[in-house]
Amino acid sequence: MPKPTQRPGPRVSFWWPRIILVAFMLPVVLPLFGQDIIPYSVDKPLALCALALCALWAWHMLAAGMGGVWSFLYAGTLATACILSLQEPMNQTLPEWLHAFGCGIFVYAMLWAFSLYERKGGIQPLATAALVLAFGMLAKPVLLILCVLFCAIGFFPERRLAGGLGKLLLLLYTPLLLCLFSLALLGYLYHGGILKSWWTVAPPAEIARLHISCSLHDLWPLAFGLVTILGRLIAGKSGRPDLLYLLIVILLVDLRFVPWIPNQPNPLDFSVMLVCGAACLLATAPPLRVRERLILLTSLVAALAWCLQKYDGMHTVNWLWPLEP
Amino acid sequence: MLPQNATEHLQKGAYGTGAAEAAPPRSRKLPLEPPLLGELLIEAGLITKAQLEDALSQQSSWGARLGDVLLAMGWLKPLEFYQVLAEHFHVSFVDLNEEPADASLFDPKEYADYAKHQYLPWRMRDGILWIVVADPTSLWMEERWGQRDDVCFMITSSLDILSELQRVAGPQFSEEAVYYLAKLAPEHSARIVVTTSQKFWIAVLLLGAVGALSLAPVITLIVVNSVLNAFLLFSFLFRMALCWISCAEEIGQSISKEELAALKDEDLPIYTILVPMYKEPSVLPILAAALKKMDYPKSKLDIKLVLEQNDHETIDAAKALELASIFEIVEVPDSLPKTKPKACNYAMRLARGEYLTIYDAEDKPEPDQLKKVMVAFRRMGRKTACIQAHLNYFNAHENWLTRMFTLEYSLWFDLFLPALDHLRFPIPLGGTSNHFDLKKLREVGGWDPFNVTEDADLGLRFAAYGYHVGVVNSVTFEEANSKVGNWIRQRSRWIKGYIQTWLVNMRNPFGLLRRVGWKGFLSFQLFVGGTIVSALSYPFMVIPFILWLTTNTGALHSFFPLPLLIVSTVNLVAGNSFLIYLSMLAAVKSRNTDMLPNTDLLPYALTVPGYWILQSIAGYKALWQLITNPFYWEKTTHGISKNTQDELAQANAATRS
Repeated sequence: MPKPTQRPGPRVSFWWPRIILVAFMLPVVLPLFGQDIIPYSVDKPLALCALALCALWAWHMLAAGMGGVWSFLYAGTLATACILSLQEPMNQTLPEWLHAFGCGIFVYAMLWAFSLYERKGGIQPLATAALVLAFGMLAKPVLLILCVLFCAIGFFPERRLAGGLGKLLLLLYTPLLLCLFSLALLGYLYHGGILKSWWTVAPPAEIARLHISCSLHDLWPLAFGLVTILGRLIAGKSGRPDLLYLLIVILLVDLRFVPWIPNQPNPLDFSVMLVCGAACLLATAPPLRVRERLILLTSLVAALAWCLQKYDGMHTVNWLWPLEP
Repeated sequence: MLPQNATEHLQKGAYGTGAAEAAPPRSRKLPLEPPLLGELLIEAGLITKAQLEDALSQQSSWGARLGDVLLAMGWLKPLEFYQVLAEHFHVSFVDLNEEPADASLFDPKEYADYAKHQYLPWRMRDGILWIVVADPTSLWMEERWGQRDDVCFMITSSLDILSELQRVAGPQFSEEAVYYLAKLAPEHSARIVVTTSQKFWIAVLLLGAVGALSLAPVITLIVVNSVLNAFLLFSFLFRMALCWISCAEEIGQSISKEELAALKDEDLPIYTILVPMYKEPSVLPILAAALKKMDYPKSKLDIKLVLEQNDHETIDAAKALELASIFEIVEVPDSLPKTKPKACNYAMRLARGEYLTIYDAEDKPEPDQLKKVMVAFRRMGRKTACIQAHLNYFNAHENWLTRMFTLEYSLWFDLFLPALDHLRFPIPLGGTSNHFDLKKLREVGGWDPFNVTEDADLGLRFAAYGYHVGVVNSVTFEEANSKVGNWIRQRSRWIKGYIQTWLVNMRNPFGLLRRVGWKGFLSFQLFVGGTIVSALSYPFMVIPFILWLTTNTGALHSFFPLPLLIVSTVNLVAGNSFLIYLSMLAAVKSRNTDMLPNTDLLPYALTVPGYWILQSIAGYKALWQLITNPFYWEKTTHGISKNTQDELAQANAATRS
């Protein structure tokens, strides 16, 4: 049998999509030229943190088979959006930022575990989800509780592998329970009360302070999420992780109206969760064809460019908080 | 095929002395149509026609000789068979028990060939060298001796060749079994436990520690504690990463049924199985029954029961079983150190196979294990020196200790080792069911008789020589220790061996780094070093913690500033938590004797911290023994499990049938 002389598959030109991409990227990137790469008005540690996370994201996409240039372009787009967004003063304290990052990373890892499960099945995704749940202590309680429930439902078919439902639950929740036990123990030993502060119901005044109105400027995470979900839907890649992503967002918004739920997520948490979740969906099953990559990236850039217009104080909307809790 | 000139030589009638000389000369010419061997055996009343037909059908599928098939099936006694064989080839038969070989004719350089090709120089008469041979059709013999005019052949039993070789070469084999590695590669031998330079550095470290403690006790303790905690943290993380990798389904050398089916019996090589035993007569039938079930051409099995010469009870029990001739008894001469690796080294010199494996006396390997290993060897390439099978226990549910031991073994063999294999890191081998390419095993010097975990040491030595060790998806079931005292004895030996292995490899850390690369080096430190350090440091972490918890004492606060206190506590709590969880994963990954997951052990994983206390006790016993009696082999008593009696009854029934 003769050896094939060229790779199978459609012949594509690799130059024209890049030229179009650069043309789209220029309006977003150009404002940054001629000045410091991170604008002076941006909180530098936060910006560096965002850049590091974007670099990790690029690495994840690269490992998933996205290709170096494309990974860089996607991560660059996200990083640009983050930095421009951070120009807006947000009046958040460090613990609030930590919580927001905790929520984001938790959502990212949880969606990754679910996509791993969808791709491979078996014990590895289950163990990953269990360990991710343990790190859910960094996120808001309500998000953790939701994911605890989703895990039980999502991994229900693995009860045979675990030898019964009881053992499956043991396998899923032992790290989390041990983590809670450890924190309780540390709290007891060092009189820290870590668990207590994590579980505290925010007083009404606190809620009011956190309950900031959002601008169009803050809408880009939502646009990013929507474009990603739609892109995956059109490409026929939607699955359990997409469903989980949507459920988390919708239920978290709805649960805002349950007054006794402690330590509710604020808009910043939502923004970070939306971005991280969408980023995870993109990285775990990146578009493989050049055309798909190009369309998705173009849509993203367009959506972000629209949302990231300079805030003029006129377009204030309550996009996640239409009603008072 | 008989060497071309052999018949000529036989026809000279010069049969040597003694019985052979006195025997009437055979017909000087071969008959035109010599009777077939099978017919001769039936004529002699040694086999039935049905047995012959069975053997002939096996012969074609196994690609073996008829005689080997008959002997392997246990339908013939070797002595009777070889007498008929001699008659078939019109060659004289020599009983080496009555007429021993002339030891002065033996060439030490050819001992391995004598064992492998089953021949011996017997006598020299009138310038003619008489060679006794068990396989007169060997092509190798023809190539080696066929061109010489001064050589004549006679036939004898293969078992007699083995015992004669042991009689003559035994002292040399025994000497080599102990000192060969120490002479070949002293840097890899544990004969010297701690080298002079290591003693110097240990002394410097101790003096430095004493000096620092006297000058600034708090800071010194903080530094020591920090370093220890950091090391343990990385060790835990490394193990977690290994487990995570192993949880993927495709890890390890997974051999499919299709690959096994594609193997042709006639292409399979001779496989040597060593079974070192010491004072374990009761479990012999279990092993014999398990080995008889092996799905491998029996005529290509070279099973050696490796027994100590003074262990009369086991030798007698082995003889009383009247096993087929594929089972050979190798009696290891009494010498020090009296260790399993020494016995294996001795028996290795008598091995006939291209490949060699070791089973413990109570082992029950899966029947297709040898074939799976053959596929794995072919798949993994020429740099592979060893394939390790998974180990598990058949008496997992006997008591708490056996349950915990099973979880630990599953963690080790189902999660850690496959990941190490996947990452191509050095693998410390398990005690049994490691399958070697015999040539490569000999090249690295065999087992270290001074190391009490010779298997772990050998795995790392293979890495140092640039060879790879793989893990195959086949399980050998063993008997888990069900008694605490016995467990501690066994575990103390293992930890002592790990310390020996660590010391041997760290004689020249830069050399190790060069040989195995930085990843292999780190893996060695975190995996082997981590096992030692965690066993020894566990009490120091648990005791202050319990003190705090129960008394809320502030006495230790000066030694543990808050950040260190938090890291230590997190390390202890998180370390134990992760161990618990990893043991749970191991329960799901492992398989019981019905090849179903051991998930009923899952809740028991919560009690792992208790098991670690036993591990620490064994660790300190090991440390003490390393100082006082480094080469002492703490014998594990087998056959004490309640399940063993059932196994024994089944095995006896199988043996009788």
